[in-house]
Amino acid sequence: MTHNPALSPSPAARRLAAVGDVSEQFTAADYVCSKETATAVFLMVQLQRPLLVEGPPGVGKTELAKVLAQTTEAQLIRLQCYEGLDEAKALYEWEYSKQLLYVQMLKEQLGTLLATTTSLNDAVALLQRQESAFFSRHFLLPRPLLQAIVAAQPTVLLIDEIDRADQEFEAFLLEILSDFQISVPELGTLQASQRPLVVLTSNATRSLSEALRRRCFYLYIDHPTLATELQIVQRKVPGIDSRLATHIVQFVQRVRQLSLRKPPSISETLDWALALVVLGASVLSRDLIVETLNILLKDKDDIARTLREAGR
Amino acid sequence: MTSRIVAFIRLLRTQGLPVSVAESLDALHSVSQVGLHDRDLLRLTLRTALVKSHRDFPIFDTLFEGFFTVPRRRRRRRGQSPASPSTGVGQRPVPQQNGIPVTSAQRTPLTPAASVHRPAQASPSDTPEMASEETAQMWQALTELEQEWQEHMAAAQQARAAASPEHNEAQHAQTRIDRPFPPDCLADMYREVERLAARLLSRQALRTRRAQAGRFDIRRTVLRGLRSGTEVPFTRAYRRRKISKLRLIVLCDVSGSVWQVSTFLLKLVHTLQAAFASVRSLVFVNSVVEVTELFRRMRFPEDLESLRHYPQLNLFGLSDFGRVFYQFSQDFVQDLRRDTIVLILGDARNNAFDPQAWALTEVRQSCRRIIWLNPEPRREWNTGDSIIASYAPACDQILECWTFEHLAQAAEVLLQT
Repeated sequence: MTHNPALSPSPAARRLAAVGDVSEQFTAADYVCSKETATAVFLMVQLQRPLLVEGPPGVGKTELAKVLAQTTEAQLIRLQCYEGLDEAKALYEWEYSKQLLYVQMLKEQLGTLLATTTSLNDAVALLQRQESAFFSRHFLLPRPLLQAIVAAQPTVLLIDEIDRADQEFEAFLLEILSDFQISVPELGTLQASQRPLVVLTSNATRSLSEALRRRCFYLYIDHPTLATELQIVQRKVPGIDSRLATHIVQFVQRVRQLSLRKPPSISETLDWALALVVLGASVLSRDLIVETLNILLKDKDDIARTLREAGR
Repeated sequence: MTSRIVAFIRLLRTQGLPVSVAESLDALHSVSQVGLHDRDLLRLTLRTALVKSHRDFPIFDTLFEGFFTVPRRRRRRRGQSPASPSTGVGQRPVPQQNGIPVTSAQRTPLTPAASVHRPAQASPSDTPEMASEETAQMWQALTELEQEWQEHMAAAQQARAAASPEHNEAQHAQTRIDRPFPPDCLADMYREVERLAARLLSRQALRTRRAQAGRFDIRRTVLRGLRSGTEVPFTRAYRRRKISKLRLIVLCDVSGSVWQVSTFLLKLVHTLQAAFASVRSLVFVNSVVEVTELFRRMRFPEDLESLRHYPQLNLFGLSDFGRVFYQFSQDFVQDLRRDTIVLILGDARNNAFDPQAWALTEVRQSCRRIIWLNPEPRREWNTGDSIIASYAPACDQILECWTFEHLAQAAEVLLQT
């Protein structure tokens, strides 16, 4: 029921041949990852399984896929999910107007072709023989999923925020994730020449189906620890004073304990740190916090609450 | 090592983690990739392949700690039962734990655990040639595991059916929602309500989408083509049906007897917001209070209690439906429109006050429909001080609503109007 992955290591699998390699190369690409993340990425690459990444917004789930593409030198194909996403937007569409345009332009040709026929039946039969000309790959408009399947070069397919799509779409995805093939009625089945690495992300706004979870490896990325976050800030905000960085991260870590409506994410920490650097701050004073907290927190009540707590 | 891991998977299952055969095979393949020299890496590897929800991480980690320990520590504990690592895990009630047979694999000598600290048995270099044999072995072990599991599940189900049908988790649908729940169960029920709402929403979205996309209209497509003189019809025409979203006003009795059902209904309705043009929530005991704003900011189920302390709401008063409907017809009738559905939840136990059914009839004249949910079984209607019969003429539908399934049916009715 499953292929044996050990027999045919892909280029990506050769490149990331150990868990250590993953963390090393990701760090080189400015993505500080925990051992959990490194293990999960290593396994998904080795066994060519999709990886389902869950976690609060802004902890770097999407970034993970981008960095994976970068380190494995694969092209990244991204499918952003939203409510009402359907097959036509995700898979393929026939280019109807192009087909019509060709019919229009080839009218004379068709005329001469059909001139030899005598009856209507013959003409139809003749046309049917030519049908494949109009339902070829040429007239197929590939959407992200098909693109990822037919791509010749190594590919990372990022299916972003799968929890936003409807449940039917999730069910439809199952076939593609387990077999990596798509059937187009007019053309037959298109099989992936090389399996794309699939990363699915979810913010857990709704629970995903068990069937989908079963087919994926699972990774939960939580808000980072103090040390990790400090490392991230120092990598992503060049030229930041290390004392300021420490203050910022300590502050953010404390804010996350407050059970706010929307705890600050890493990207917001980075924005804040960047803003403070631009403002030329060297220490985190109370006035500075009051002035710039709206960069870190985006909710009126959260800001008020944090300032009240910080006052103590 | 294979048998050791299979035994571990068996343990996970007895603790209620849903692990499938495919996942088990994935786990075994994964372990052969990372090797066994690093214990923490082994933990992360197994977790990545076997546990698909972070809520189950603590259980997994505890079990792993207990199961893959160095023999020295284990020997000291040998006097205890072989299932001892699991006894410390209290996060999840395990009804089937008593029924699980303690199998030979679980009791096997713990030598394989020692190999955790040996250098990797299956280093990447020798994986290819041994792969097929390995896989066959794994497959064999897994098939046995699966069989055993099926037998166990069948036995457990029988035992459960014999014991008490009410506490069967699989029968969520039959769960009575008019009784108070223990707090940990309550969170589960809210999650269940959310799942129900999600299902209904996606179905509704599909319905709307199909209606909006419309069906291809050949006649108009051809006509349009002819009219523009191109012969070939470039622009497609569709026959579209217009579906407009409805407005919903929920009127909930929150007096002690029906409080529980009301909270579920309010939760459901608020999760279903996207399916309606607007949703307003009103609660009452003997006077009506609008809580729409409160709900917008509220977190379930933590803040539910704050509803009880709402200033204008006299929670300890006696339910007075007549007064409530009179007040509603005075204060809210101007907000009703032809596309408004009024959803009432209450047991119609009026404490012998005047029913004032005419007020509800008046409300009915200015809205689309009135649907009444009664959280009492049908046989108890119109007994004692229940006067649902006097309100019945004004209502389009009166439904029972005292199990989870009833709630689902009510939601279905609501969306199909």
